[in-house]
Amino acid sequence: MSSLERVAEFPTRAAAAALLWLSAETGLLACPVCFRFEESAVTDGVRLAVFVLISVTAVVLAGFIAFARRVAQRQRADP
Amino acid sequence: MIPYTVERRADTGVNNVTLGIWLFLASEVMLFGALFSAYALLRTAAPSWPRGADVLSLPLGTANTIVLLAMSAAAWRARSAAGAAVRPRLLLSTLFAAAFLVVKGVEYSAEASRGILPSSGMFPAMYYTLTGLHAFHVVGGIGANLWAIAGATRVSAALTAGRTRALSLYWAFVDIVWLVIFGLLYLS
Repeated sequence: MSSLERVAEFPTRAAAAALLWLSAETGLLACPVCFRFEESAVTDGVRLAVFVLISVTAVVLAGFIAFARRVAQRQRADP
Repeated sequence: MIPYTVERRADTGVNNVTLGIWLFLASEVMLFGALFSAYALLRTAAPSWPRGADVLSLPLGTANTIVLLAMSAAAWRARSAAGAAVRPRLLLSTLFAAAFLVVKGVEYSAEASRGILPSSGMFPAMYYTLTGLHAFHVVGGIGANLWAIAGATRVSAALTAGRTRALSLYWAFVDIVWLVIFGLLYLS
């Protein structure tokens, strides 16, 4: 298997690893000293900000993965 | 060393110029994404947030949106021209970009005279940061346009076509960012 094909298979392997990890975990609890339970506008703001940043990052990463897959497909078609 | 070629590479399916501009745009998306994330935090956490139309000039903002769309359209049309023929279209695109900066300058001046400064509050701080960084990109694009216009008679048609394609993608990105800024700051 070439290095490009390994790159192209990375999303599948990563998704499988994430599913295994999620099924093994019973729950994650944030420390209440650092993350107080009270709901405030700042908490909502941080949540939205993290969501926006993760969304933007996901879009960019999806672009990189699509590009890696395209290169791998081209390599398979014309080795 | 990366070869300076204009042909499509067999492995990527695109030439080096196109691949390079896409990588650059990916980094730019992250830059503006971080700022939009900061905007989301500040706006949601703020006890009060003014309506953009009450603070900013909606007519000037709308006029600038039209100017920027025209600029991007001119740059996009330059893709269909060959060799030195791209010059008038890129020049038109440069003029529209310069007009955008002039209108932005007028807007900044009017806002500063009304006491709306970056230190006035969260909204003006975000406004000047986002629009200022965007205007900086317009300045950079004008420089790149002028460079491509000057080189169009000296380099091969294939090289000019690559530069024009990269510029049209860049201007489309600048356009999209402005539309997001316009929606967030002027219309909401």
